[in-house]
Amino acid sequence: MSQDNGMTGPTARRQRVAEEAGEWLLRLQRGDLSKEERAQFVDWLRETPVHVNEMLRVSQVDSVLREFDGWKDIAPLDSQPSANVVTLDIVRERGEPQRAPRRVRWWLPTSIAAGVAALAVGFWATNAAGWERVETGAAERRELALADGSVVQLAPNSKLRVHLQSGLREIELSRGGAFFRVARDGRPFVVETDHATVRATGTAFAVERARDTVVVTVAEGNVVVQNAQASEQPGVTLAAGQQVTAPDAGQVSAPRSVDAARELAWTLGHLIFDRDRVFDAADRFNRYNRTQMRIADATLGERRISGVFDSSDPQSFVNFLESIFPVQVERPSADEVVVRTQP
Amino acid sequence: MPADRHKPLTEWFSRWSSPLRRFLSRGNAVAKADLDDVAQEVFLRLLRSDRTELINSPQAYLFQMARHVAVEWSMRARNRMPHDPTWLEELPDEEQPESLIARDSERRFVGKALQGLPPRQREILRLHYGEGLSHAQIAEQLGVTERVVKRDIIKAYATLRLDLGAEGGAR
Repeated sequence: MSQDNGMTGPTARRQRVAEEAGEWLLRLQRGDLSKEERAQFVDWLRETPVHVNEMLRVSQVDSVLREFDGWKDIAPLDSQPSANVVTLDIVRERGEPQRAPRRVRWWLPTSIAAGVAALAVGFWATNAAGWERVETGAAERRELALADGSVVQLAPNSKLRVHLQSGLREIELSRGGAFFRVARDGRPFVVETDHATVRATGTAFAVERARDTVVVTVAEGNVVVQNAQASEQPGVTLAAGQQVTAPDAGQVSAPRSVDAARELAWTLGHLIFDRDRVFDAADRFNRYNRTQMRIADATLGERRISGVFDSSDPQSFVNFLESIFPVQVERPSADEVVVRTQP
Repeated sequence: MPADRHKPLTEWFSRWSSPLRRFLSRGNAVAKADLDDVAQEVFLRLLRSDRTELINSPQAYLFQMARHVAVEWSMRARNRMPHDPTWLEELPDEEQPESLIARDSERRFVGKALQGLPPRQREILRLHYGEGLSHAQIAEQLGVTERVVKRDIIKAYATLRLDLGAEGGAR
């Protein structure tokens, strides 16, 4: 702070001048100075270069503060320890045995002072770099609010890490899928997967990492998708209702139009099929459920079906198939259902 | 300047202080040609100027002079002569391309400086610059007088000017 070497005289005087300059700044900001006040200001400036100096300095500080856009990372006074991530809702798959209630997890933002560190973070510890991890099990969807006001819906079997910094909001999606409703706060919002990187500023979009492909679907606004290895290339811009796939780190497909509501119905817990193959429908269910469905023959698998289903209820789909096709259902194990055309 | 005489001072202020800051910013080579030297030169120019003229728009003159000096010296540092020495002339805006990385590090730097302030000062700045509240609204919210709010702001400025000033902070 004060580079005082014990000489309080000049430093104290300098401090006073700085405060005078601050007073002038506030008066000038109020506007509408009278001619007399303006004359006072001019005379004050012309008194010594120190006054000019301090006036320039304080103006500079004001300018810096006005341009600063990291206020969201500055903790409010006397606030509850605000978390980087807050759990809004946990949805369990129907029929799952009740688990022990999970502890509420508080993730610590990097800007909070050490005094709050006493809160246990449990299994998902914050590492030194300030990343917070969130993971969903096979039977779980989760909705989270981030400290910047964005909302993330995590699909089952998903894993992501969040790192909100003063200039950037970073998400790393290593497994599964998530739907992001990004709050506009000036900072870029970036979702990284091993195949592709998605950049957004104020928008709603989903990133799904399914088997060997990354799928990005936009509901609102625009995002830019780059392949993970070539960040110097401009990337593909997607608008609402568009989707791209990134089958590996070297490629991002051209955007194609999709029915975003249908593609993103899973975020509401729905799966919407419109003349889709039974094979594909079963695959879709499998992404969100512990119970895995296998369609044993192509006769059944290639048939096309339409309907809206509860994504957490694969049994309802099996029932549906039974009601319209002659099928036979086997359960080789608790988590497996095999459906085949009746021989 | 005659055309600008009627512009509100606050508009001039916001128009000129930002380019000024860029010239005096830490990332700029001119910053090494101190704010101290710029202030000295501006002081001399103020003395040489007509007082009545200055009184018409003091802020505007102050910042345009400072900007002019900084640009002039910046040009000299690059071995170029300014096109026109008349300090009243509006100079082309030498915008610095702001890279994402530079902005990011600037943000972190400012954030850190803010963390060094006493909590109430920081909170007042946050409410003013971050939430856009007036001094009166801040006073009400914090349960103090407006005078207290202004005192805190002024003290915060005085502290921050050392951290955020042209020579301050990490280079």
